[in-house]
Amino acid sequence: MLMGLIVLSAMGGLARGEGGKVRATASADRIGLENTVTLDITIEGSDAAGAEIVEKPSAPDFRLIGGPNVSTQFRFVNGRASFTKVIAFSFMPLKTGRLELPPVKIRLDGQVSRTEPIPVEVVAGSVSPSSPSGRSPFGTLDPFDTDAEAGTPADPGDDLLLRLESPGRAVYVGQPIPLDLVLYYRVRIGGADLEKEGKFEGFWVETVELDPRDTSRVGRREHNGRAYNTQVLRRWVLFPLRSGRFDVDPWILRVLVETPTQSFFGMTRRQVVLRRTNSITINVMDFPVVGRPAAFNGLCGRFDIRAGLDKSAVATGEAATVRLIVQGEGNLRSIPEQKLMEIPGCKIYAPKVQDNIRLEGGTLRGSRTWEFVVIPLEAGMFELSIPELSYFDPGSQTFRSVNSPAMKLNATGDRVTGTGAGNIGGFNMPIEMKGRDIRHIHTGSMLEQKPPERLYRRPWFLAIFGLLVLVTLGAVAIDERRRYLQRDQRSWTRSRAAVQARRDLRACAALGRKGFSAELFDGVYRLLQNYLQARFGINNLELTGVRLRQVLSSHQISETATADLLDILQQCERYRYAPTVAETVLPQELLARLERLLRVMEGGRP
Amino acid sequence: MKRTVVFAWLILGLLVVWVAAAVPSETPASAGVRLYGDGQYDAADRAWRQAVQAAPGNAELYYNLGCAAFRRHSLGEAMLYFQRACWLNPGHTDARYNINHINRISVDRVSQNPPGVPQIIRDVLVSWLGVDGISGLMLGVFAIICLTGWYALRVRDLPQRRTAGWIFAVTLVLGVASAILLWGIVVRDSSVSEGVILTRQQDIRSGPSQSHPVLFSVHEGLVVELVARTEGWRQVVLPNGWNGWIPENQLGVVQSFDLPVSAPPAGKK
Repeated sequence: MLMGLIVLSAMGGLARGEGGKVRATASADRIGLENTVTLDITIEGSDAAGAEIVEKPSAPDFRLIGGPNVSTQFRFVNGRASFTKVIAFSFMPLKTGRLELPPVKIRLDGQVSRTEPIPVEVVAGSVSPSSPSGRSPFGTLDPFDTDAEAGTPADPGDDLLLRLESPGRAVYVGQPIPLDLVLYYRVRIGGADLEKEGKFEGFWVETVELDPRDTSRVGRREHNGRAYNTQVLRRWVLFPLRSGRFDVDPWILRVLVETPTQSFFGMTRRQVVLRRTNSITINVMDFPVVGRPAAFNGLCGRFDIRAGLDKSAVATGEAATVRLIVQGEGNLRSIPEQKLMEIPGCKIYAPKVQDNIRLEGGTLRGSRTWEFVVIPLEAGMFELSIPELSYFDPGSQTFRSVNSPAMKLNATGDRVTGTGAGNIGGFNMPIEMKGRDIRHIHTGSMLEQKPPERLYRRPWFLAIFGLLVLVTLGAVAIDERRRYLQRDQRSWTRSRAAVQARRDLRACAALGRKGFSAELFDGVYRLLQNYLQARFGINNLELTGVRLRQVLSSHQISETATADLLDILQQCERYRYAPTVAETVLPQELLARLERLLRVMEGGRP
Repeated sequence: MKRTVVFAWLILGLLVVWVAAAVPSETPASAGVRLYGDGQYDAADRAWRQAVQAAPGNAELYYNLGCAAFRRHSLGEAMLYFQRACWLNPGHTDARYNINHINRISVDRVSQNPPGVPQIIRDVLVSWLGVDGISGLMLGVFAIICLTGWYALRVRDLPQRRTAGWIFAVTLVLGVASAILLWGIVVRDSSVSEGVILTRQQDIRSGPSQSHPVLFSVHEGLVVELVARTEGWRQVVLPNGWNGWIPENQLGVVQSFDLPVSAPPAGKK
C-alpha cells in the first residue's frame, strides 16, 4: 500500500494551486500499442463530492475509449473522516513513442484547476503493466472483494491479446490471403464484443462463415514463448485489388475478464478491458512484366477451361447450346466475360451465366459457366472456338494460358432470312422493355367532333322505355280480353253483334243527317237483319213475326221490345217496297227508337 | 363595255370566294396536332384549349391536352386532363394507361384499397362497350324482355311457352345487370367529385384558412375526393382517408369543363 502511494506520487501530476487535493495518475507508465491506459483523477477532501469535470480530455496521440467513470470512498480512521472521489478515463494509444496523457480540467469549490499531463511510453505490441496501480476504469463488481483495499484489479496485460494472423504478407494482385482475428488468452474470459471494426482498404473481402460448433476454432498456440488458449473470432479471405503496401485497419475488442477472488463467498472479480489488434502490413506485388500474355486480364490462381456443344448437327434456324466452364481456385469472381468468336452465318446470343463458387481452404474454389445459344442461319459446317484464357499462377510465379478445342456444328437446310434479331426457327426471346412513356396524342376527325349527349340523358330514351311498357301491357290486355271472350262463345257472339250493330247505327245516323231516304231504311233493315243473325242466329229467310217472337222469347227478350222490333222492321219494309203509302217518319225518331231497342236487347234499360 | 367590265369583276369575285371556301383551313385541333408533332407543346396546348372551348365535352381533346401538359413536365395538369378524358369516356384506355404512368412517377404514394369485383366488372364493361353501348344494350334487353314476356303469356303450347320463359328469365337477368351498371354510372356521373393537385407541393391544413396548422403535404398529380367547399377553400379526402383543406385554386376539378390557368416554365417546350 505504502509502495503504491509512493509510485502514484512519483507518477502523478498535481493540480496547480490546489496542493494535494487533486491528483492525476496513470495506470502504467509503459504500455504496448495494443494495450490501454487509465487516467485517474483523484480528489480528496471534505468537499471532494462536489468536484466535476469541466470538459472531456482529448489528446492527438490517444483515443478516448471510456469514461468518465466515477467512484467515491469514505474512510473514518483514528477519529478522522476522509472523503475521496476518483474519476477515471480510459485511453488507447494511436502510435508508439513517448506520449503524454492529456491534462484534465476539474471544477472544485467554484474554481477550475488543471492537472498536469502525464508521460507514457508506448511501445509496439503488448506489454505487461509496469505500474502496480494499473486498474480498470470499470472497477470491481464484487462488494465483498478483499482486494478492494488494494484498488481495482490490474489489467491482464500480455495474458490477453487480440491478433490478426495471416500465413503470408507478400502476395500478388488478386491472390487470396486468408486472415484470422484470434483472441489469445491466459485468463478467464466472461464474454467479448467488438468495440470497433477495422476496414480492409485495397482489398476485396470474402467473409468465411464460422460454424460455432467447429472445435478447430478453439485451441492452444504459442506466442513469444508463452502458451495461450486461442479462439478464432473472425475469418476472411482478402483479394488485393491493386499493388502496394497496405496496413490493415486495427480491430478493437471489449473483453470481460473474470478473476477469482479470495472472498469468503468465492466470487469472481470481473473487469472489462479493451484489446486492439497488432498492426499488420500486407505487401501486394504487381504481376511480372516479362512473359505477360496479351490476353492476360488480372486473373490470379489456377484455372482450367472446357467447352462443349449439346448437339453437333442442327437444321438452319434451330438452336444449339455451347456450354463453357471455367473452373479452378483463385479470384474466380474476377474472371472476365467469355465470348464465342463471331462466325458469319451464325447468330450467337448473349450467354446465361451461372456460378458455383465457394470459400474453401482460404481461397475461392468452384466454377463459372456460360451458356451460349447459337443459331445457324445458313447451311454449312461452323467451327465454334473460344478465346484463350490467361492467368498468373502465384505458386510457380508464371503466366499460363488455357484453351479448349474448337467445336464443330453442322447445319443443314435452307437459309433463314431476316436479320436474326427476332424469332428464328421457333426460338423465342423475351421482349425487353427499354423505357416507359405516355401514349401518343390522338389525331383525326374525332378531335373536331362535338360529342353528343349521352344516350341515357336524352328524353326519347326514357320515352322508348315507357312506350315499350305500354305496348306490352296493351297487347297483353287485348289478348286476355279475346281469350276471355272466346271462353264464352255466346258472349262473344253477342259482343260481336253489338259491336257490329253500333257500327251500323253510326252509318245509319250519317245517312239520317242527309235526310229522309230509301238508303236509310235499307240500312236500318240490314242492321237489324245482321244483328238478329249474329246475336240469335236468325237468318233472313226466318225473319217472320212468329219465328221472331219464338226465338226472342227464348232469349228472354221482352214482348214490348219484340213488338218494337217488328214495328221497325215493318216500317222499313213498307218504305222500301211501298214508299208512297208509307207513313211519314222522321229519321231521328227512327234512329232513336232503334238505339233504344238495341240497348234493351243488350240487356240495358230502355 | 361598262356592263362587261362589271360582269367580269363579279365573276372574279365569285371565283375568289369559291377558292377561299374550297381551300381547307386549319382548325385549332389539327393545328395542335401539328404543333405537338413539332415539339411546340405550349403552342399545342393553346390550340387545343381553343378547340375545347368549342367542344367542351370532347374527351380526345382533353386527352391531347394531358399529353401536352405531360411533355411540359406539368404532371398535375396532365393528370387532371387524363382523368377528365376518363370521366367523359370511361372506356378511354389510353388515358387510363397514361394515368397509371403518371402514378408510377409521381411523388405521393397513397395506400388505398384495391377495387372490388363489381368495380372491376364495371370498368371492364364500360371500357368494352362504352356508356352509350350499355344504355343501348339495356334498351334492347328491355325490348326483348317485353316481347318474350308477352309471348310467354300468349302461347298455349307448353314447350313453346317454356322456351319463351327461359328467354324471358335470361333477358331479365341481363336487363337487371345492365340497369344496375347504368345506374352506377349515372350515380357516379352525378355525385362523385374529384380534384387533382396542381402545384408541385401543397400543404393540407386542418381548416379553411392559412392560420390552421398544416396536417400533411401532398404533391402534384394526386387525385383527391372533394367533399365540402367554403370561400376559396375545398375540403379534400385522400384515398387513404386523410382529410384536410386546400386553397381552391391549387387544384383542378375533374368533373367540370374548367381549364386551369397553365403557366408553363419559360424556355421549356
